[in-house]
Amino acid sequence: MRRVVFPTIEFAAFFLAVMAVSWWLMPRPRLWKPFMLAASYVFYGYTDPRFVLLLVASTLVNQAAACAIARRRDRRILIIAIVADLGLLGWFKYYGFFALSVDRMLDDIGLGAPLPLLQVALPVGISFFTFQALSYVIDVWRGDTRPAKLIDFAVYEAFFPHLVAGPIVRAREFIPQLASPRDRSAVPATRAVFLICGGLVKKVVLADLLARRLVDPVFDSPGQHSSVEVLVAIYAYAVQIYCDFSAYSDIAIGVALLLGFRFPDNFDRPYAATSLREFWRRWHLTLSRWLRDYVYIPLGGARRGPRRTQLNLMITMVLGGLWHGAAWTFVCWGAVHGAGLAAERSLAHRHGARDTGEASRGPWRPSRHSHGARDTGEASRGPWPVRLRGRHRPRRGEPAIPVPTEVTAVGLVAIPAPRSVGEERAPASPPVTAPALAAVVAREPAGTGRGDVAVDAVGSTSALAVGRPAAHSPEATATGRWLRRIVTFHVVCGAWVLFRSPDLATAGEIMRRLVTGGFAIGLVTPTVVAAIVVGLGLAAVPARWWTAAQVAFDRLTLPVQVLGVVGFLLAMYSFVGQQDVAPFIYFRF
Amino acid sequence: MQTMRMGVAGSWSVETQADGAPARPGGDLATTTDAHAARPGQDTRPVPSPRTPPADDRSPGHAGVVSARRAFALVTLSLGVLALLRTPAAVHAGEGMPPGRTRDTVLAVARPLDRVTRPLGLDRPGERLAALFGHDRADSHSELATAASREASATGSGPGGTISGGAPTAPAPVPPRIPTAGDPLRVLVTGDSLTESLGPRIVNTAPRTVRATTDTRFGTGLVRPDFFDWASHAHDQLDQEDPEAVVVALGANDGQGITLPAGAVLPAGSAGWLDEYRRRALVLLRIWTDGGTRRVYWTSLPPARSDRLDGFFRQLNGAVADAARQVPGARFLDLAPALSDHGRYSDYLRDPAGHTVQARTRDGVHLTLDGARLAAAPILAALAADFSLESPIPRQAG
Repeated sequence: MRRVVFPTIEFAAFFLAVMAVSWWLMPRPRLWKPFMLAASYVFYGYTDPRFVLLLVASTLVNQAAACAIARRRDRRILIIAIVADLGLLGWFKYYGFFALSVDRMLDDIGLGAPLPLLQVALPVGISFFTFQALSYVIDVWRGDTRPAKLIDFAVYEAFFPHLVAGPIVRAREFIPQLASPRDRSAVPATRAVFLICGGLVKKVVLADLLARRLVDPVFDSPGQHSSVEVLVAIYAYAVQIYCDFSAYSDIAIGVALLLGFRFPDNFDRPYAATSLREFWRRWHLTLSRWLRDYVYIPLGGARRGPRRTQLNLMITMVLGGLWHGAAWTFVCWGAVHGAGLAAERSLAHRHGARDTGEASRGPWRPSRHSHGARDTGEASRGPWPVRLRGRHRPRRGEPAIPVPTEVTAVGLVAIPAPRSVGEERAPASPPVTAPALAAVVAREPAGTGRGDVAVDAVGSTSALAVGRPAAHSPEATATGRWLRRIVTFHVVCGAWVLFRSPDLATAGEIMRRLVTGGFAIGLVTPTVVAAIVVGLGLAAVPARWWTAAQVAFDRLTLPVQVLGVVGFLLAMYSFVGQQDVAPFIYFRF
Repeated sequence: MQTMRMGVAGSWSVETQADGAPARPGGDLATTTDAHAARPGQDTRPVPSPRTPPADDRSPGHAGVVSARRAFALVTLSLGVLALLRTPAAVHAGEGMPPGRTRDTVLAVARPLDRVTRPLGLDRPGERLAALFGHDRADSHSELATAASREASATGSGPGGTISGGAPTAPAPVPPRIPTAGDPLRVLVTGDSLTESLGPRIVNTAPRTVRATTDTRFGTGLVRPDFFDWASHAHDQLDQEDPEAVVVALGANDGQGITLPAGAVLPAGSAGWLDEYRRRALVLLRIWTDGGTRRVYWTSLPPARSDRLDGFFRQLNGAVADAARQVPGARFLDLAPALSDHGRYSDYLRDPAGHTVQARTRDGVHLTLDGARLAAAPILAALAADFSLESPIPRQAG
């Protein structure tokens, strides 16, 4: 039941050894790759060695499929690979849920149990590595990437920093980084240290404190808590899950940086979003862009009319919910987001006609968006809901401004792939108008611009603009933005209730208690409120402060840097006292 | 905190900006946002070929790129110094690990280090800081083991000994009062991770005349008081919560050998091990029953999927049942009828309504919410019988 997690002695020892050997072997890829593969398998097998076989099997099957597809483009091979991957996921993750649901249903109409009720052990991280493998095979099918060497693909799928809980890195982002040894003279140590230390604080101080002091007690027994406690616990959970999950991503990214590798970012101040659509461009980006590219767009995206688009949104979000776990709470959580996105879309539609001027009016807005995109590296590819607007907007002839910044952002993380790929692919996306397409093909450095990017960029402009009819004076802009931000945050919080509750009955009880529980303060202590405020308020800290802090850290000598890091961590651990770190929430997924 | 990443990624983008991006039109627009303002001069970069791998980490103006050697030095030294300053925590972490090579290794390094660093006062900065934040230093002596050894001398050798001399003289527990909704029965559900789902289930399904709270201590047990001392914690619980009834689910982590304070190791499953376990349970039961003034319901460990673990659990159940018989006010509740398929382990069970429910989590030990619901029923029934409670009204629909 124990596993190697980031803030443990085991991981520290493991990582020091791996980091030393990795840089030592780095100039010799023939040795480095098997070493990294072995290290990752050791990391994965620490919990249960049998699971390594699963990982190896997944690697071999998908690699075989990718190679076969590259040799002869046979759709059947693709289908077999997809079925195999989903079958693996389905068996390990959903069988119990499925069998029990069938059993219940038949039980109600008086039939016996047809399916054996088995309990299948859940291999850690299976959702993550299966999705990575799927994206690889589908990308090869689409011609977006070429089959990698087996050892490269194996290292990519097993690379331990992202193996257990993401981020979901794409093959074409990672495998090119294996093409040449990482530069031993250019390790972004400061950035890595900041990410890791910041992640630890978010996890150990904020997330665990909120869970322990308020969220767990309230969600465990809502009936014994007041409305005030329930309300604050819901806010606290929003902060907790953000701090918990983004902390894991940050630490994973930081650890990868120390080994010389770059991951796309996974979060960009999600609670600053002014719409659900924007929320999904800021929350778990690597998952949402995966869903966009491999579920939403294959379903037809926004190309088949408004009704169908809304249905597609719903299907995508429900599947996204189900990805988190086999439970009706997750399904409902996805459905709430799907319905919210669909509603936003139809609202925006309605206002769309009279706000056309608005769309072309705000050049600062695309740049504001792109600043998020830029910061998150791959963000421009992540936010699939953005693409909703694509069908309607590019024709308005304003793609020129956002496209370059968006494409630039893509270049941050994505590593060069054959340019022809981008050219092949782009025409396949119907909604792209000629200028946008030209912009992508001409400017896209990473071969990732499949037209979607351009559409995204354009779409985001109008998407942001359309929903904000009051944006004509600066005051109204700020007020409107805050209003939308607050509404969005509360919708998201409401959905989190479903996400956190162990079953739907508890979620209902929480909502009931929210209005009937009275006003006792109870567990809402100043510490808890402070943690919530800090967790939310961190989004307001200007980026340049962090940059300045890093520049300042850079100028220090090594001993002073060490003292700084040690002092920081010592203070952090002293603050929380001698307690065990709770497991990361996303380990369950 | 995400802004930290933002800044982080921001500096990243400075150098990758030059990786393959053409000069951006509208750079003036970009600088109107603060993120862009943080990256001066990015638009004046030369534009390398789009295919160039991102190898320009040392581009001028970029923050924080060092050699691998220096990065390794930073990480190693930081962790090393931290380890020296936090040896007590390392020892504690090692003691909290399940038995095995990892635990042995960690303790083999941490304990000698601790013996060196403590006299040097290296643990003091952390301790001072912890005191500043209001944490007491963890006491390293273990009351449970000491008390159990006294128990041993009083009981003499052999299992199933008579009521020991350390026990209060009261032969019968104090008769329970009849709680009301206005003055409900104070119930404390406590133990290891087994109480995580059981506690809330009892809290939520108990009748209105019961006010239950849960105190879960993950990864703890009676075998390793060096990691967490249940005896001193039980005293604290009585002081703080003043429970009239204590429901205990404890021992899921105890399928491992016991190291006595003197250093002798009693292998798991041996007769000496079982005897020591019984003595420790006895100590705890005496504390919680508080001379018969409080009731204790110690629940059995549920059947486990693993045969080996299940064997240990059966032994431990026997030892605790034995101990409970010797302490007035204590009761051992066997949950096996509710949590097994005719005594055998099963992931899925039938609830009283006849529905199949998944009762056990994937690890084959813990209870799901449905399983906890099954387990809570006999516990509440016992409480109801002893305290003349109204019959439990389940507030939860399936």
